[in-house]
Order: sequence, then structure tokens, then C-alpha cells
Amino acid sequence: MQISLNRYGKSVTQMLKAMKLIAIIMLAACLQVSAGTDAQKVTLNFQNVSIEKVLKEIKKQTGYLFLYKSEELKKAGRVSIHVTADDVADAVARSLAGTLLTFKIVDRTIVLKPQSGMPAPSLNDHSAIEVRGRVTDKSGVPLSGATIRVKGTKEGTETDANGEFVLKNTDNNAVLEISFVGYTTQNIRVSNRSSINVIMELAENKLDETVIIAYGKTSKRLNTGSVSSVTSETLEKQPVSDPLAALQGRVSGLMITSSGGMAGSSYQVRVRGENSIKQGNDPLYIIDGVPFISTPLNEFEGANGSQSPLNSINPNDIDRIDVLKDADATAIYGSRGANGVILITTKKGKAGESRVNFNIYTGISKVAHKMKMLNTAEYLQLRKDAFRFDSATATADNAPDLMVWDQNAYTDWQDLLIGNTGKITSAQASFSGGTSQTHFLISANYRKETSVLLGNLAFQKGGALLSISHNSKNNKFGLTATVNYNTDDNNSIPTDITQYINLPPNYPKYNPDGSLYWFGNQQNPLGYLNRTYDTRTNNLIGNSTIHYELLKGLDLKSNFGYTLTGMNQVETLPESGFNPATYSGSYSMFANSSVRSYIAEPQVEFTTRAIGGKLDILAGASWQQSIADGQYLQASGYSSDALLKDMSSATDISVNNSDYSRYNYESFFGRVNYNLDQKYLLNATFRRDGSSRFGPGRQFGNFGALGAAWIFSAENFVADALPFLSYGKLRASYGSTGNDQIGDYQYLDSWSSVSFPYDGVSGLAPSRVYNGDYSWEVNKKMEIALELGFLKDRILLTAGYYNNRSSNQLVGYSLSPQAGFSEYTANLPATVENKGLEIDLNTINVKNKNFQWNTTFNLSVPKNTLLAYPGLENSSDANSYQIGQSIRMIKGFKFTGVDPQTGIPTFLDVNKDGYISDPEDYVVMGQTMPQFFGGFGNQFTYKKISLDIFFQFVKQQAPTSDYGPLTGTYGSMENKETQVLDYWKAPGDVTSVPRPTTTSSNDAYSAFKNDYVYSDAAWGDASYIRLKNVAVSYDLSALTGKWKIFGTSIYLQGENLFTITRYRGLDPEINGFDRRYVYPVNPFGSVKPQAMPVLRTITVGLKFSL
Amino acid sequence: MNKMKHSHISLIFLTITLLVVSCKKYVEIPPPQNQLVSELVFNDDKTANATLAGLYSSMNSYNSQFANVNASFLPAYGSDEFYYAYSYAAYNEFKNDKVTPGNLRVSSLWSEPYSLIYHANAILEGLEKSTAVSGSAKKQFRGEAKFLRAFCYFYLVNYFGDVPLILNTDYKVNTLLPREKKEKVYDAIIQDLEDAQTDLPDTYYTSERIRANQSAATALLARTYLYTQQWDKAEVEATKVINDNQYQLLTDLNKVFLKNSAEAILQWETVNTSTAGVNTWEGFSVVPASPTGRSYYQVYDSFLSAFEQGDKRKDSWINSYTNATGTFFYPYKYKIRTKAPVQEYTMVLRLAEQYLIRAEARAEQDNLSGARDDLDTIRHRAGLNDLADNLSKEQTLLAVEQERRIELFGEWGHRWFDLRRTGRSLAVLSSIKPGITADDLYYPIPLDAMNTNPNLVQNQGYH
Repeated sequence: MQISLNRYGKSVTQMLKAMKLIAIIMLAACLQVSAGTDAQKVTLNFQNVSIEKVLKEIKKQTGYLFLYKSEELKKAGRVSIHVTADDVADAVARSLAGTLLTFKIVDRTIVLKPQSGMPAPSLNDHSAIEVRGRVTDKSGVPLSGATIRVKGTKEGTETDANGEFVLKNTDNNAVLEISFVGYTTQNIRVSNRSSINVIMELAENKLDETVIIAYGKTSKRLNTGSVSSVTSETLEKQPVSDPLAALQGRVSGLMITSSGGMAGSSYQVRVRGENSIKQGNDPLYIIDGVPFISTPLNEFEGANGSQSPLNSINPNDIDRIDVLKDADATAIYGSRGANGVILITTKKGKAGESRVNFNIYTGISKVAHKMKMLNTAEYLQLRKDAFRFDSATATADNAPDLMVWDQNAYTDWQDLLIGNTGKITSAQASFSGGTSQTHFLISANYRKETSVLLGNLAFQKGGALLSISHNSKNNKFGLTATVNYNTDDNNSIPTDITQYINLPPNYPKYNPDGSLYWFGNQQNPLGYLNRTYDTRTNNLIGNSTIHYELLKGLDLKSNFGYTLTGMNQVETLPESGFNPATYSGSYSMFANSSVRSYIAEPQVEFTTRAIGGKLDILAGASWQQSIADGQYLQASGYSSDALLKDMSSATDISVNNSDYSRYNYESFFGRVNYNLDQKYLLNATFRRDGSSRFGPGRQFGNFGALGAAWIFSAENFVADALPFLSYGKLRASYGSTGNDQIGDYQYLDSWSSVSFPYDGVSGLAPSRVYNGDYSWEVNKKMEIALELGFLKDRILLTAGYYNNRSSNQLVGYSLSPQAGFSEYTANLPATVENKGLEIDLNTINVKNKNFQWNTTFNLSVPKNTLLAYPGLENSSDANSYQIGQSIRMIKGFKFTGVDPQTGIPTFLDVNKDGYISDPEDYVVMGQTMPQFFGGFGNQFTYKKISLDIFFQFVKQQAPTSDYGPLTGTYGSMENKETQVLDYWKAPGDVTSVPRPTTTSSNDAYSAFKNDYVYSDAAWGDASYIRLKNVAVSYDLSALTGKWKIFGTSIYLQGENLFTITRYRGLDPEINGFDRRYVYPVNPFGSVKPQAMPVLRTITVGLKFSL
Repeated sequence: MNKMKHSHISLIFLTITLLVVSCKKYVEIPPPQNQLVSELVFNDDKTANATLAGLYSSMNSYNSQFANVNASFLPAYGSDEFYYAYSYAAYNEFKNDKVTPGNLRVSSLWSEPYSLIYHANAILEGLEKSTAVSGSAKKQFRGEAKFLRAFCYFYLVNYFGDVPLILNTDYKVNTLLPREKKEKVYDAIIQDLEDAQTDLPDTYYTSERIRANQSAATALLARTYLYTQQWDKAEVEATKVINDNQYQLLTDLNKVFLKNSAEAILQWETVNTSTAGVNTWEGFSVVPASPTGRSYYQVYDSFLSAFEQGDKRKDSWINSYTNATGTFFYPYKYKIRTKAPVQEYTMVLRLAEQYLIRAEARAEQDNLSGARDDLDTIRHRAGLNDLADNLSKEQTLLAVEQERRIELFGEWGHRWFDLRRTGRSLAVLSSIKPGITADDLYYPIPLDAMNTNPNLVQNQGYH
């Protein structure tokens, strides 16, 4: 027998009679009775559970009995409910909202029946009415674009700019599902009302929180792409200056490596590995819709290297950072999406009472780990042995450490040079508030960080954020404007003197008369402290968005942005900073560089219902221009070193560099998003990009992606079969993105002025070879991911597999030196694969009134492979890359031990020709990219105390402290680590440490310098587990509330507290390769001396609002 | 605002959009302000001249370039002239004649000449295509470019033996070229120098002797013939220069290396103004910072004793410093570390060498008295007596070797090349270079070159 589901079936009396009969049989057949105590209020908190479960809870709380038929309940599907109902009738009515069941209370028994068969006695008969309503947030701000769906039908609508909606011809007893990104979905029964006002609550469930995506937002639940987010809550727990530092280990697929521990040092940021063999692999940064130039502005480097531009952004001004990874999320950024996109959203004002917030902290930082170096006696013995084994004679020239200097003097160079304690002070104040129409936020910040270097150096930064937004009364027109200005001032020195920690321990610092000691033409590191290096950076980001609702569902938007970033650099090199033997006059260097760019992005967005679902279409265009220029001058001939910072006091000024480049960029993009029943999601994106970085005829490229998701947990059959599963989504995406991270004008062959005129003529030299024949690098990305929620979403797991293939590689194609140029830009027909597994786990382990314990864990297992490189063998890259290996592989000799007879290191002779030679005898030693990495955090809240502990872990290999051409032999005039003490001392000694040697004309020396330093003896494990962050805070609000001081807490935060590693060197993160220089494989160009490690920082702070 | 009509706001959007779109060819941008596109370079004589100025300037802009300190000092360490007195690994390898392929100095000796060769090739091709550069200017610039190209190849072939021969800017092909036989490279050098002789006038382009003229081409050609044992031609070319009145041996040895000295056939102008007071990079390197200080460089004892009694060159071209540990001697041809205005230029080609070339060429052709005359010309200036007139051919050749050693020390690797081409390296050097072998006489092909061109074969003895 069929039951009609016709909503207007009130006239089917025959049917009703049959239904009554069935109802009686039903009761008899499966009567379920239970009893309990009475209760007034009923609290229900369920996410996507069966009705049965809800009813059981009501029974438990009220003691009412239920009569129903199991099959009917199963048909009713699953419900989500978060209410505190006034009485049992209300509770049951709300529970059944959206199902096709109705009920009748008879005494203390509740009888459930199918709705259509038997209208509920408490409600009127069915009739079609017009329902109008308004959807707002808690503060009364209308929510435009919220979805209203009539449950069980294909009917629905969206709210207009004013948050209002109209549903015509709606069943007076229908259930409306109201959803809006970032808010908890609500079900409301019409109950014959013609006007319904809905107040939406911000989502508590992580799945429903807002996620920012390209040109819009979504929720984790409805997202078809791969996006990971870090919110201000996490950022605020870390006392760092650069927001990138706060992201380390927090996001799966995102590897961030510091280039040095000094304030302002840059970071290498990689989203899902490295796609481009030789060009940039940096992600695209977008701050409030405006692309941010992440290339350092330095014309010359200081002790901190090139300064990270993101260091100018105050982490406390950031509301959230969203990392876009797969094709679905990034393809709309077209040619710049290949390496991922990092969206930074600054804080905005909120409607509500005006508040002034303060946050002040202070603390200290220190180098966390020192290497164990030889003491003077050990060092001198090593040196003497080197001369003895070499049969060489130590003289005052070649061994002053043995012949001239004090044999008992000892300097711990690590202690002296980098052993200071840095002090950090930070203060932040913000003022925010607003009405339902206008919001504002004004914030100011200041931070000072002194250096751990010998001397009195400091990095200061400060800035302000101003954000204002306004909506017209009818909410059709809206405008947001944000201005973010930051400036920093770095007083430092030009050289990272960390590299001198291996000076001989008895190296005299001073002459007896107190002046600096100089040996030969060598530089005494203390001399570097007399030089100065100051940079001042200014960073202005202005952005404005206007939108206007032309018709219902049709929005016009436009985003305008302007950024101005500038850097001033002054370096002075006074006479006192020079070894007199090399001094040829004091001089100073001045540089100014700036980048200014604008962007205009008009967009049209159209939202409508189609085939029972919600269709959202976005079309837009983008015009951008960046102009970068810079000058770098050198001035000399000063009458006094006191005037070195005054260029006009110089008699001789020369131009070392003058830069200019312009980058124009034009795009058209679109997106179609379709959402059927919150179950089936489809997202298609397209972008056509034109870039001035390509030659005529090659400027445009097309990119696009398709993403789809299926929320299978919303399917009844899944819900029934897997009741423990509260959320389940399968998503997949495929698409293409591009990379245009090459310099500007690369297609032009051009001549540039040489540094110095000749014969009175300003000369020209070829600066680039002609090659107009290259175009976009293409990265095809595929991802498939499973997202699961268990136990009412208290356990959320995301597991994703991606496979990205980058082809048409845009490279500075290496030329051999004989070609006269080091490279030219071309597309290389090579394919690089980055694939990997990413796992994100968030759990709420304990949650009750007093105690909550959350855990987060993320793991990324990337793999990088060069899949194809036609013609590799005959190319200049033949020795640098290998099919099947990572593009960041490192080759070197295989160390086979020390010859017990001679003490000379031996190596594997791969081609068995009797000689150890490169590249023939090279083996693959490893790669510079990590094998896996991730983070593990626990967050405890007990009453007023909260504690966060976060570990970062990385499994990787790296060159150790003995790697590369800068390394002296054991026995040369430089100090070594204590591991060296095990060196070969006499024939028969079996050891893995070669014999000391110091003179070049012997086999031990050449084996060391030619082979050992490029072998796996100097290469090894650099994995580490780092206690990245600990934050403890105590909430004092209750105490201070009586003085009208709110949100008060004191806190203690620690960064990089300890590191577990087997790495030989100062810091496994900042190891021997300079990550600022991309180039792989042949390591010689990119090895660097020891650099400042990341610092351990501990701070204490106070937060409160008035 | 809410009273604003649809049309108004739509109009705003439209205007903004059109404003931006109106730049029709938005992504076609003008060339940068700080570079010149190639077509414009050879559009007139003046700009074409700038490409030559750029080439000369690139040779001598900085310290320790191929065409200044590296060319003159590195081979001197490896032979028996002088060495870097302090320990510095890259120099020690040269001193010990055990240069490793990874040595960054040897990399400079390879890469820099090739970079200059590209520049010269680009000039030659630009001139070839140009219709705007005048005929006389074309000849002048072409001649200079060819001279400089030959100059670079002369050193490449003498440092490394067979080297890739690159005569155009087709970089995609050139990057993978294998090494060409020495003889072929010498043929190309001779061809370029003969062309330069034809193209260039014997007057200098300006008042200074800092750009190649016809005599510069002739002088280098004479040397090339000597190295390729074409004795008669060497004699002919050297004679041309010797007979040219522009060039005179200076009697005052202290003035030989001054700028535009009468003995100079070609010098590099001092261009770098950012290191205050530099005259020559060679002088900047060897001359102690303080007048009473010690040089980083020290001549070999054997070299000191190679001077004959009364040789004025020992007094003028060698200087010393004495302290408690001893007396240290250093090369002193260039006498200025820093001083303004500039008085010394780097000497590239000078007349004295031409006498020595002719002496050797004559001796090889058994014109022993002619050879002695030329040697005596040089000896007289140094305050030495005539050679005995009964010397055999071998003795005369040894006298040439000795005279070249003393006269040309510290200049452009003459001694290192001379010993090798006369087959005397091992015999002469073994005593102070233990372990030297014939394989060490050519430098290894640098690692960065080997790594980027799989078609290069390493020199014998290097791994």
C-alpha cells in the first residue's frame, strides 16, 4: 500500500481511514514503552543523528513515553538539533521539524504518526501561504545570501542584501532549513506564520566555520577544495615577529624553513614541494585581496640576509591565514597558483560595544644550542699532528696558532659572538566597535627585539591598522576600506658573525695595547662589529571593496588595492672595521628600493536556484601593475668616519646598481559553484591570464579546474549503516595552474651599462641573450581526499592524496660557462611530480564544564620526482638531475672509511677506473626536501588556566658542519667539533675520522678537500622534533571585571624551547645550504657557513580590554 | 547612499572598468629604463663604441679578474717566480701545481674569457648586421673585437690546452661544444689577429694606449707565431713592432709601468673608482699597505738568486721588508698600492717582449748573433754586459729563457708558458714543486664547466 506524500492531501479521507487502522496495528506490533521522571526544560544537542536517538534523550530528560513504528522513524532520516526547549511538546516539535512525522500527546505518552496521513492535532490543516522573513546575526546585521530551503522539496531561495526572503506558495507547516557560511544551520517550522525572523548563531562546529577562499568564502563542510587555515587564536600564542614563523608545523603540506635566526631573516615557504626546477617556488601571498610582493627588497644583504617582506605584517593584526593547495582552490589564480596561495585576512571591526584592547609582552631570547668545539689543548694537538703527518714545518706564517699565539689562551667564540641575551618588548592596542551599519577597527603595535650578537643591536617595528566598513540602510550598497601601515628599523651589522665560531680557540682578539689583533690579511670578527648596517622598511597596504546588489541575487563587486613597499639601506665600513692590511679607505653604501603596485578587480556574482540546488556564478577581471625600482650607491672619500652616513660628505659616489622593472598582468576569471541538497557539490573555475613577463604572442594562457564533493554522511543509507559517523565527505579535484616566477623582460636581448666607464665612454655589455620563445609553466594538480567526523564531530580527520605534475618547465636554462652566459630562459620539456599524503586530525578529547582537552595533529609525506627530461644526458643539466630522483637531490661521494695504514679517507669508486672523480663516482646522497614533516599540538583548558603545547617535527637530511668547499681540513687553522678527536693517529688505527692535514701537497689533503667534504661523511640526518611553542595563560577577567576591565589574562609563552636532533651543527633547520638560493644538486654554489640558529624565546604578557 | 539609483552605481563600475581596460595592450610593456634592446645598440657609431668600452671595462673592473691579477699571479705561483706568503687554500693549489677542478680561481680563468668572447662575438655580429654604423667605425670596432677575442683564446689555449672554439653568439649550440684541438684554436687566433692588423690603424683610438691598435695585434701575433714555432713569421711580426717609432725601451726601469709609457703597446685603463686610489690591481695586491709593512707576496729564493750581479732590475722591480724573523722580498714592478691621481696602468703588451720574441725566433733559425743583439738590447737597459759571442744555439736559447724569466716575471704567466712550450717545466720546477708531473702543466677544466657540459673531457691527470 502506498501512502501519498501530497501535502494537500487533506481530502483523501479514504486514505485516512486506512491510516488509522495501520496506526493501531503499528501500536500493537511494536509498542515501546518506557517511563521516567518529569522535567520542565529539555536540552537537546545533536548533530546529524537519527530521530530515535533524539527521542530517547527526550524520554530520558522528561520521562514521557513514545509510541512509534521503527520503520517510520528510520524513514524520517537524520536531524541536527541544538535547542533548549521550554516543554516537552516544544522539544518534540522541534525534533520532528523537517521530518514527515507528527505527534500527539496522550497523557504522558507521545504518539508519532506519519504527517501526511494524519495531520497533527496541534497544528492547522495544510495550506499554501506566503512566508516572508529576515535573517540576521546576533547583533542584528542582516545576512545577505543565506540559503532558505524548504525541507523535503526542491523549493528554496536566498536572502537579499537586507537579509530578507520571500517564499511563495509554501506549506504552512513546512520546515525551513536556513544556512549561511560560518553559522550553524537552523531548521524552523513555518507553523502557519507568514513572517519569520531568524537569528543565526556563529558556528561552533569546526566544519561550519568560515574558510576564506579565492574571491569568496565557504565552510570546511561545503568546500570542494583543499584549504588549511590558521586563525588568530593560534597566531596570538606565539611571540614571533613574522607571521610565517607562526605557521611552522601548523599546516599540512606547508613547509616553512627559516634562513637564519636573526630578526627579519627570510623564510623559505613551500606548499606541496617544489614544482619548478629552476624558477621560483614561492606561493602567492594575498593580503585582504591584494597580492603581496614577497620578494625581498634588499639591494645588498646584512647579517640577517635579505629581509622577509612578510615580517612587516604584524601577526596580531591578522584574523586568519588560509593556505590554498589543490587545483580547485588555486586554479582561479591561474598563472600564479601553481605553488599554492596564502590568503591573509586582517582583523575587522564587529558590531557591538566599543572596546579598547591592550596586549603587552616582554621576554628574552637566546641561542638554544651550541656546538661542542675543541678546547685549546685539543685544538693545538690536532694542529701539531697535522704538521707531523704532513712532514711539514710550522712557521709563524702558516701556523701562528702554534708558533706565535698564547698556547693557553682560550676563547669560546660561540659564547663571545652569539652568546648575548636578546630582549623583546611588544605592545599592541586596538579600538573597535560599530553599529549594524558601520564597523571600525583601529590598531597600533610596537615591537623591539635586541640581538644575541655581541654588541647593542636592535630590530624595531611598529605600525597601524585601520579598517572601516559601511553598509547603506537598505544594505544594497557596501564598502570596506582597510589601510595597513607598518615600518621597521633594523640596526644591525653587515655580516652574520656566527660564521666565525670556528676560529682557533687561542686566536688573539686584541693586541696588548687593546687594539684589535689582525693576522695577515684576515678579518678579526670583532672588526665587523665596528661596521653598521641599518635598514628601514615601510609597507603600506590599502584596499577597498565596494559591492552593490543590482537585482536580487545579482551582486556587483569591485576590489581595489594599492601597496607601497620601500626599503632604505645604509651600511658603513669605517677604518676601524678593516684589517689595516686590506684597508683602502672607508666607505659606505646606500640603497633605496621600492615596489608599488595596484590592482583592480571588478566582479559580478549571480546566485540563483537551479534544478533544486543553489547555483553561484562569479565572473571577474583583474588588472595589476607592479613597478619596482632601486638604486644602490657606494660612497667614499670621506674626511671623517663620523660622516659615513652622510652621502654629501663623500667625494666619490658611484652607482653600483640601478634597477627598474615593470610587471603588468591582466586576467579574466570565472567560477560556477553548484550545491545540491548540501550533499552534492560541484565547483568549476577558469582563468585566462596575460602577463608582461612573456614575449609578444606568448602572453596569454588559460587555466582551470573542476572540483566535486559528496557529503555522503548526509545520505540516509550511510547514516544508518555508520551511525558513529557524524560527518563524511569525499572530494576530488583536477585542474591546471601556472607559474610565471621569472624575472621581467626575460624575452628581450639587451645591453646594460657596465659599472665603470672606459676611455671616457660609458660602456655597454650584453645583459641577456635573445629568447622570445618561452611561455607558461603548467602545473596539473590532482587531489582526492576523505574528510570524516566521528562522535558528533569531536574527532575530525582529513586524509588527502595529491599528485601534481609540473611540465613545460620554465627555467633559466643553465649554460655551460663557455657559452658566455650562465643561463637563458626557456621552457624545458621536463616533468616534475610532487605527490604526497596529508593527514589532519583534530580531536576534542575531553570536554566538560571545567576541563577541555583538544589535540591537533598533522602529517605530510611529500615525494618529489623528476619524471621526464628529454635530452637530459646531453644537456648542461646532465650531472645535476636524474630521472626518478628528486629535483633537489644531492650527489656526492660514498665515504668508505679511513685507510688504517695511512689515515686517508677512501671513497667508493663507482666506475672502477681507479680514481675518485666527479661526477662519475658520485652517488645520490639524499635531497634537500624533507621526507615527512608535521605538527602535534595539545590544548588544555582547566577553569581559568589554558595550556598549549605544540611540537613541530621534520624528517630530513642536510649537509653537516663539515660540508662543502668552505670547510677546512681537520688540522687546518680552524677549530672543529669534538667528534673530530677520534682522528687517525697511527698506522693500524681503525677510525672513521681522517688524519689531520694542513698542507695542500699531499694525498690526505686532497682527499679531504676534493672528496671528503663532498661525501656522505659530511652529509647526514638533520631530522628534528622541536618544542615549537608553549603558551600558558590565566584568565583574570572575573577578578578585574569589577573594575570594568574585561578579557584580562596573563600569559607565558615560549618559542623553540628545545629541539631533539642528531644533527651535527648549530641548527638542523638552518643547515648548510642557503635556501635563499634555489639551486640544487651541485652544491658548491649554495653552501654557506654557519648561520645564526633560530632562537629560544620566552615571554610574559598581559592582555585586557576596557 | 541608499537613494542612489542603480544607474549611478552601475555607471561608477562601468567607468572604473573602462578606465583600466582602455589600455588596450595592457600586457605589452615598454622596454625597461635601464637596458638597451640590441637593435638600438648598433644604430650609431657612438653607441657601438660603447660596446667596446664595455668590453675593455669588463676586463679590469675588479680585483682578481682573469685579465688582471689572476692571469699574472696564478701561473707565477705555480712556476718559480713568487707566491702568496700566507696560507690560502685556493692559492696553495696553484703554488703546489696541484690545482683541483673545484678551485674557484681556475673557474675564473675559464669562465671570464668566455664571457668576454661572447661580448666580442656579439659586437662582431651586431656590426655585421648594422647598416647605421659608419664604415670606418665598423673597421675600428671589428678590429678591436677580433683582437680581444684572440687575446682571450690565447690564454684559454695556454691554460687548458684544447678548448671549445666559440665564434658566434649561438649560445644554445655553443654551450655543448666539445674541446677543439689546440692547433685549430691557434689558427683562429692567427686569423683574428691578421684581420685586426688589417682593420686597425696604428694610431690609438684616443690619446692613451688603452685600446688595441695595429701594433697590439702585431705584437700578439708575433707571440702566437713563437708559441706555434713559426719562427720566421714571429721574427717578421716582432720586427714590425720593434721598428715602430711609437715604442721605445725606457732607460729608467722605474718608469716602465707608468701609464702610457713609451714601452707600452697596450695597457688597461684603471676604471674602478669605488676602491679609492687604486692604480693597478696588481700593485694594489703586492704593495704593502703601509710603507714599512710586509707584502702578502714573496719571491722564491731561487728567483732572487737568478738575477745576475748588477742587474738593475733586481733593485727596481723587487722590493724587500725586514723584520725580526728575516727579510722578505716581493715583486715591485707596480709600485703603487693606492694613490690619486692614477699613475700606473696594467701593462698588457710591451716592447721588451718583442725583442725577446725576435731573439728566440732568430736563435731557432740559427741567427745566433741576431738573437744576441736583441738579448743585449734588453741586457743593456738592465745595466748588464753583452752576452759572450761564442754561445751555442742551446746556450743562446737558454740565455733567452733566462732573460725572459728576469724581464717578464709576474706578467701574464710568461714563465709558466715558456717552460712548458720549451719542455723544461719538470726539469726546472721539480726541485721546488715536489710531485709535479707533466699532467700538472695544464690546468684542469673547472668543475662548473664539466658539470654543465657533458661533452667536455677532463685533462689528463685530473679526476
